[in-house]
Amino acid sequence: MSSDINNLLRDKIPEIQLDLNTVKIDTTVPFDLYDEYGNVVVEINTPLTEPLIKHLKSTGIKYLYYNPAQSKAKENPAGLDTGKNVLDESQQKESIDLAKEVLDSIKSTIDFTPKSITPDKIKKTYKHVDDILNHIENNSDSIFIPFNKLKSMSEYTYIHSSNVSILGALLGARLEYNRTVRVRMGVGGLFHDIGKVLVDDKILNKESQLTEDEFRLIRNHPQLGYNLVKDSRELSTLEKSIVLFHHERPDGQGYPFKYDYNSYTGNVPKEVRLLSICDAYSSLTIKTPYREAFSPKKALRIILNSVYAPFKKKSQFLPADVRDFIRSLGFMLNKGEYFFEKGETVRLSSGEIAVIEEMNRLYPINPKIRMITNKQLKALDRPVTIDLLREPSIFIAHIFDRSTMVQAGSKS
Amino acid sequence: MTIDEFLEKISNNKKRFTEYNDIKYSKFKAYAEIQNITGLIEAIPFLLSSNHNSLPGYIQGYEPIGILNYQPSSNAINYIVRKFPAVQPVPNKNNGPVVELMAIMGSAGTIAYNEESDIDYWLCIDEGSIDTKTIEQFKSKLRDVELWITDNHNIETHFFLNDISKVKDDIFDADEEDISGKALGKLLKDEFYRSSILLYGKIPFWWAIPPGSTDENYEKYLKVVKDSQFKDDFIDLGNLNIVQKEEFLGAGLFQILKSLGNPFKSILKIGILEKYLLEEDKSTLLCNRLKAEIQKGNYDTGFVDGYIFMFNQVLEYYQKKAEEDPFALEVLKRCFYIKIDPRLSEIGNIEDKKFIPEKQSIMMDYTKKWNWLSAKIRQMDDFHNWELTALNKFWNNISKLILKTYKKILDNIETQIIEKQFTGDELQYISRRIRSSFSYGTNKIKPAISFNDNPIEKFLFIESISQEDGSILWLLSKGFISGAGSSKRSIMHKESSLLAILAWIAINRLFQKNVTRIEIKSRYQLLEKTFVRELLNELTLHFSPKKVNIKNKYFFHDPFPVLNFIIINLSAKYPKGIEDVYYLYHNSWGETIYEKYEREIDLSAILTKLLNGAVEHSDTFINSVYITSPYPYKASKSFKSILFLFNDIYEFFTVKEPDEIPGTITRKYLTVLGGNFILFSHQIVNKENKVTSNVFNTELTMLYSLSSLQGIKNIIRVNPLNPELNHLKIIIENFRADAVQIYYQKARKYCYFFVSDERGSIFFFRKKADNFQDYLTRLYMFSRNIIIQVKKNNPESVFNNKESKGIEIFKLDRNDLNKCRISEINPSKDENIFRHEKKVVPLKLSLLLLESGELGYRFSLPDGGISENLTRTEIEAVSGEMSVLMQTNQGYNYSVTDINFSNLDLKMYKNFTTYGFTEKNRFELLIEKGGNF
Repeated sequence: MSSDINNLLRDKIPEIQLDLNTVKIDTTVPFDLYDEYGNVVVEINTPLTEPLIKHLKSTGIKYLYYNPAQSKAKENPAGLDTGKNVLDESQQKESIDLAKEVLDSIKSTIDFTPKSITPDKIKKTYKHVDDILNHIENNSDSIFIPFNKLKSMSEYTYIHSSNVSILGALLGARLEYNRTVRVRMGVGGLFHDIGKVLVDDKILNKESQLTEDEFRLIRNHPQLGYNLVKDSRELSTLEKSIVLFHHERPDGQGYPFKYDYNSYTGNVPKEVRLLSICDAYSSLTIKTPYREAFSPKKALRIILNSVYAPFKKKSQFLPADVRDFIRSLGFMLNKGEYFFEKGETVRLSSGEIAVIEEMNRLYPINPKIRMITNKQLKALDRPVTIDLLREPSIFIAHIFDRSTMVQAGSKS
Repeated sequence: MTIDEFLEKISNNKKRFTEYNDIKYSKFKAYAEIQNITGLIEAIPFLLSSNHNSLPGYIQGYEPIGILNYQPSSNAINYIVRKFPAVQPVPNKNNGPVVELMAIMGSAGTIAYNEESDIDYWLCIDEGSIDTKTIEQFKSKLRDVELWITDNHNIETHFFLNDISKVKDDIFDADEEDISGKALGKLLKDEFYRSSILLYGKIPFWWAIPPGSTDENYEKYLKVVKDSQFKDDFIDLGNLNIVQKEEFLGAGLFQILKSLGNPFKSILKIGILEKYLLEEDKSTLLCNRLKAEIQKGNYDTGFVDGYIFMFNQVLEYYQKKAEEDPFALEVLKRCFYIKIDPRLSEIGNIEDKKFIPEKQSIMMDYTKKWNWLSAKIRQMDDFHNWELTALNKFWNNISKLILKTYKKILDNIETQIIEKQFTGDELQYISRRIRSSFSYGTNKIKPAISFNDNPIEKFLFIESISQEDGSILWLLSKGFISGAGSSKRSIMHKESSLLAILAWIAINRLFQKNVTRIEIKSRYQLLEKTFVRELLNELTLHFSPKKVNIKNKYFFHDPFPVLNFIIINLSAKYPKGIEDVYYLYHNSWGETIYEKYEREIDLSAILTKLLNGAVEHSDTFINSVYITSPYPYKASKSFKSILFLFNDIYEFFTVKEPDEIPGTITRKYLTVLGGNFILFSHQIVNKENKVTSNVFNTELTMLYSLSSLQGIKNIIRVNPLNPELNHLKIIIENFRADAVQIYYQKARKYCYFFVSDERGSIFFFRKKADNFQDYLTRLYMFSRNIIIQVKKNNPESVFNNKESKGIEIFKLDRNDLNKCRISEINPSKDENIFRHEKKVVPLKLSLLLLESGELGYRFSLPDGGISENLTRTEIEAVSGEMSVLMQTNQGYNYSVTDINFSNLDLKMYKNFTTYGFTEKNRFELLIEKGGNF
């Protein structure tokens, strides 16, 4: 008998039985839970969520067992919310409160030195993101609607930072990045606009057209933020890069460095580029006192329309990044629906205009299309049908829309 | 009271007990003399306390345990010398460890005793003072002597070996379970104190103290006696004063459940239960009531005879209630008379009472008291010849009484009292069991209403008649000599099948070879009459309800077969294969069921039932299953292979591995029956063992179902007589617990892969022959990757052992005759795998839990991205897209090369490679099912 069997069984008797038909949903047991055969099925302190229970039942498991006499309970991670809807309003509020707490604490210091962000605050942020990730990972097929209602413009940065943090962590998880990167994307999201605390609220909240100077001040926020965080021992290069590069873009119109395509792809890490998309998505979907929010569908279309393609003069994101964002979060953000449909007219990255014939799930921006023009936009005599799945280098770079095209990006 | 006065009282009580015990013993001896077993009875202690190789129960190297105060009597010496000339009877040693008390329990020495009665012995030892090996040897000796007595004297004898200190705590050898806690032990102790006859050793101290003494006083008295001249006279088996009602209920119900096949025993047991629960404020146990009388010197038969004493208690209770239920009283009286069977009408007018045997004399007193007229007595004496209608009516009355009383008990006991003893489910089971014993479906064989311990008939007659609706009815009659001296027949039983009739004869022990003459007359069925007689003999020998050991815990579950009897081709004259199968079984509720099947494949249904019983009761095959058939089929290869299958599968599911920890191993057994593949699987649900069977028309579906085993260790066995399964046999035999073993078999159209994992699960993959090298490489990559994960997640994994083989690859060759061989390939030196791996675009499968509870999947795509979360249905739906991606991206394939469980909170997926292979298989099958491959 191998030692693993003995070890697994050591805790078997006397044991307590949990009937999966009657166990309270979200019960957390501070012991490993075994099946009839002594397999550890669920680890210590794992919430018995409804999906988990349903799944176990579907595999034929009706009862789980644990042995309180011999297992050693671990401390339940503080703040771990075992609620089913992880990111419901109240939970997102916690995130917003944390963003407020962190950003306000910097504001309240007089000198705005890097010491304004205390290690405790950063640790708290890490923990918070970690907790959020626990929920996100356990509810991988739920939808996510970021908090989007503002009472006043003064709340904007907090809510937006919180949204970007959650979206960043979620995206990291969906792309199977390791846990550390997921957490850092979340923390980076929370801190990405930290430089704005040094910009006058009057400018940030200004309703009328900004002057060139005011624009310049706002555009300086990544650099200001970076100055605040660059010497922090608690924050990693990734978070610092997020603060610094989140407004860079491949068309040379980003800031602070105005990178061109090559510098952009060479200097800005993939995780930061992805977070920029999260930043854009959050900005577009928050309703402010001055403008209506875009629907998730519309916001996703705007993001796709901002993807780099050779025929475009302006672009904000790289195709591979948009593809990853859409694959990972597209359905989740858009309540499980496609954000464009069969029959819509699109422009391909290679320049032709086409009509969508059939959607592809694995490569959503590579549907089957009917090409109706050539690259010079001259109508084809005989439209050609192509499955873009077979031509992965060509993708939808623009969806035509009856409404006005809006440049993606935050107010800044 | 002074100590001297107290000791005088003790001395007096001791004397009373000795007198009382002597009377009982002399009665027993009188019966033994009539039965001509005095020599045996007096020699039994000698057999138990000696160890000679000519004697039964000889154990090599065993130093015998003696019996206190036993010295062989002249009867015993004569008996030994006559039976075992080589043995010199020597006086019993008393200097080593000894049995401190030897007693007989039960009906011995009572009015109910007859030559068919069992004799139960109780032996008490101090286990603490004897080493375990000696005790085990002694137990083994006891079993051997039991068997020897049964074989040589036809007397069923049982020895119960009890540890004195356990008896003190009300734990007995016979009390094998803990379901009703100590209460059952207390009832058993009550029965012991009031019905036992002390043969040798010390007197139980309980008999020396006043009735109703509290536990505290018992200990106080004991202390005084231990310091007195009586210190060696008594044995401390513990006090017995009162039993709480709720405890009594629990224990009493079990006694009722166990006695349900025996009407009179049931009535007495349920009567006592009702009396205790409803009449008494405090449950004064019968033994205390008896002790009070004996200590007064009242040696009236009503007290000395334990059986009469018990009956009188119940009778008295029913008499008190006679106004509200006269019917119950009458049923009780009749049952008692029939049970004792004194045949008073045959005695005639014996004037001088002293010539009337005691049994008859006692019963005459009763019938006089009950004002029974001679016609009624004659009618009761003729019970054995009652017609079926009268018998059924009587049986119905008994049933009514038991059910009514049971209901009354349940209604009157406060719910919370019951709940203390049983859960709602358990109580429901008890009620179901009680009701079930009085209801008879078509397949249930009703026991006879017999009060007779020796029911063997001299002449039985079986005939079939046609009924109005065209169906056939089988009648069983017995022959007897009427009062007028002419031979007559009376119908005893009817059934719709011959087998049911035969089973009924067997279970009611009516038949004995060389004693019973049997005649069979069938107008409608070809019958091999010699076989029927032989079958009846086999049934009597192998299907006796006496062989069934029903445990209390069985009543809390659905019934399962305990003793099985299978007859193949009973009514087929020249069968080619299997044409009919009769399945008879006794179940765990004490019921007898028969079922009829017609096809070979139906054997799987029989096996499933039978195995479900076997995994619960764990009795040996030889004790539990008997399979027979008429010749010539019985001599055929086909019959022998069935016999082998039943034996093989039975052993497989019941015989445990050395050091097996219960509940950690799942077993699967594969066989071919009637051209189908049958897979028997053992599972545990709510700590209950279940065996299920699945029938597969094709080998392919069977192979896919082999996967997914949940045990910590999985054992698969194939029927070695089925050449179709040779390939699996060779894989199973080659199993290693520290490796993932990959087997491949190439065929013209397809190639087949088998994976045997570290837990003994077997997975099957079928791919197109063209994909052979690609799939083998990917399977190898997958195995390598999952082992890495398991090693990381589970420090206890076998793969973390330095000696672990990791991955083994074998080529499997199987020819048209199903001859198989395997040859090993070293994957690390295999150029083909090495070269091909460089071309492979990996596919990593990631598992997650969806809101619906099912598993979601995402997987890597050729552009390095990852798909969104997909359900199983959605995977099927993207099968077409997958096909396109494979065409346009060289090296990309849906065959999984790696798996990620880190998004799942389910440890079970991470500790072994099993689930990895299961999910890999599932994913690939879903894509294939999508239709584009």
